[in-house]
Amino acid sequence: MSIYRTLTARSIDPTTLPVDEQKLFSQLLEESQKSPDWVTFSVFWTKLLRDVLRGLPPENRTKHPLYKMAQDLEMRLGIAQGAVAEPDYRDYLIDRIEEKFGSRYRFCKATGIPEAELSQVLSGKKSFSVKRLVEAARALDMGLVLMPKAELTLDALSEKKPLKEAADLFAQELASVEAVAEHLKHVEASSRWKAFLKERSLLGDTLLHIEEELRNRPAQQRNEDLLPELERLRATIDASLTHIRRKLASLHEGQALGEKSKT
Amino acid sequence: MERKVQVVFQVPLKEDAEAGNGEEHPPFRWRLLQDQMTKLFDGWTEQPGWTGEWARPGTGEIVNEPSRVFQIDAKENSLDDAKGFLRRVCVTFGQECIRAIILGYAEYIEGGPDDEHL
Repeated sequence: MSIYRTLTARSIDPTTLPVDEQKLFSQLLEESQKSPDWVTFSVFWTKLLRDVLRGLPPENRTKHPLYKMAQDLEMRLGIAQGAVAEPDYRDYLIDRIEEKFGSRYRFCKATGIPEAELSQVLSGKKSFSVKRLVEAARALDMGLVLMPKAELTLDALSEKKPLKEAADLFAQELASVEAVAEHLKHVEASSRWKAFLKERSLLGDTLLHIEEELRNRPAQQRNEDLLPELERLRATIDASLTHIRRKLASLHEGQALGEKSKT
Repeated sequence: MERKVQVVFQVPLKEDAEAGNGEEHPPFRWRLLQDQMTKLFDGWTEQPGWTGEWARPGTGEIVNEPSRVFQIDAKENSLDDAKGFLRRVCVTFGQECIRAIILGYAEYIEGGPDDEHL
């Protein structure tokens, strides 16, 4: 069971939960992976966690790791279904205020930011000035970053994104090699090998490029265990290439034998 | 034991096009709503698949929009607190008003400038 990361990048370790609660977490994950309607999932999790949460005072229920993860899974479904907007800076702000100060009142008292102003920012009626945002971020031990937009999407921040990218490229490359192999049945022998080797070299370059890309990613976007995955993918591709090479060789031999018998 | 009354209210999935920006809400709003319902009303009940249809106060225009419909149990002698909560829901979710059923009566609860975010 790996660490759960919320939409606002808060880490929750499910292995620290009692065994029966870990089972509940597994049920939550399993259900969410069926991609139910987000509101249906909300009803599911509130029912599933009722007994665990009932024993706690209401203010502690909302801090329970299972409650947090269930709520986060619900939001992820809502976003995927287009019913909820992707999180913006206010999601990070409010989450961090809760985590570090416990309440907006305490945060505002500590920073001198008027509560009414924060309230208007949260409801979207106003925006913080950059100066105010820097003050808030400093109080929350956060930093402000300007990043390319493409890297800000949820998908780009997903741990599996590099692997998906790699897999998509491999599939594309493999398809093109197979297409070439198929096409080569009908072309002259020496040129087909040349073309084949060229394709293979392109594939090798792609692999190296992806590997390099993965290693250069910022730590938060890189998942070290993707590298072994990449190796496994490389082995799969190599096996496929060997298969294609043999197929081509037998075609080549067949064609050579045919030509020989003609003479 | 103190009697409680059922309060049902609907929250549109998007901000009001006039009072807000007409777009879907960011996740933190739904999260804060659930947290507040847990803290103030000991939880909530929800029926998936409901959509809201209501007449806009003033113009009478029929508004039909996908909404989430929540049910909470409020203390009978603290209904004003429940209405205060709904005013804050209205402000938080960028709505002109929140349609609620309280003691069987439909009410349209508007948030004011003094009502804070949830």
